[in-house]
Amino acid sequence: MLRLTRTLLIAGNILNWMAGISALLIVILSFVAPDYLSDSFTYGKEYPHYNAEQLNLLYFIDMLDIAIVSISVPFIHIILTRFIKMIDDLNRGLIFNKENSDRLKTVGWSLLAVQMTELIYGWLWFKWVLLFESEHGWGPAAHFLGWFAVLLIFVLAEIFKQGAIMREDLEGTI
Amino acid sequence: MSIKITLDEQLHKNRMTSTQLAEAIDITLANLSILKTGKARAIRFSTLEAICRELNCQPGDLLSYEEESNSLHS
Repeated sequence: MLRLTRTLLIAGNILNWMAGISALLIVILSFVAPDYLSDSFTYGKEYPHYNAEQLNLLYFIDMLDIAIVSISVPFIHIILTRFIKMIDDLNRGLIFNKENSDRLKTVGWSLLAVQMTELIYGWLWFKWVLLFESEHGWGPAAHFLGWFAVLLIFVLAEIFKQGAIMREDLEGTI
Repeated sequence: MSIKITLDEQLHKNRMTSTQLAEAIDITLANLSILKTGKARAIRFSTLEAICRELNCQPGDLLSYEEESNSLHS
């Protein structure tokens, strides 16, 4: 189970960086060859009732969304790599120690950063919904779980810290 | 640690080595050394009971309190 989880985390991180690099390339392309990129988007076909100004705004919001998504890539990298290190520690029989408590805190802060970028992403979509009176939008329901996960991670970090203290006490108990 | 454990005097009285005591109370010699050198953070009552039984002494013969010079209460 742990080996599978570790493999999935590594694979997830590879996908994370691939997505990030792709997003970054798209953003760079939007500056270097804007016409080529905008022609690739099919807004005109999907939203035939929008005028050119609206389509440009839609394209701009999409580019902004892609840029915001790429910001979360290093934070996701931090989260996944810290979990990989914790699994490695677990395989060595070390789990309740200060290092893992600190790793969980780092994961908590990184997850908070990802949630913040998600919030900005959601705000942009709400603006789009308001501007274009569209039913398409960002669904907040699933994203509340992310905020609870942030709190949970910080609580776990404290549990690990207390666990480390208890383990040290136990090791020094004859 | 302000609590000191003095085993050597009792070991000498009983003509017992650390190795013999460790075997008698079923702890490793390494753990007994940790006790003797004051590196232990805590001692179980069961361990203290076993030591007192084997060395025919009281806990007070083994444990003493010495206030450390950097204590906040000094």
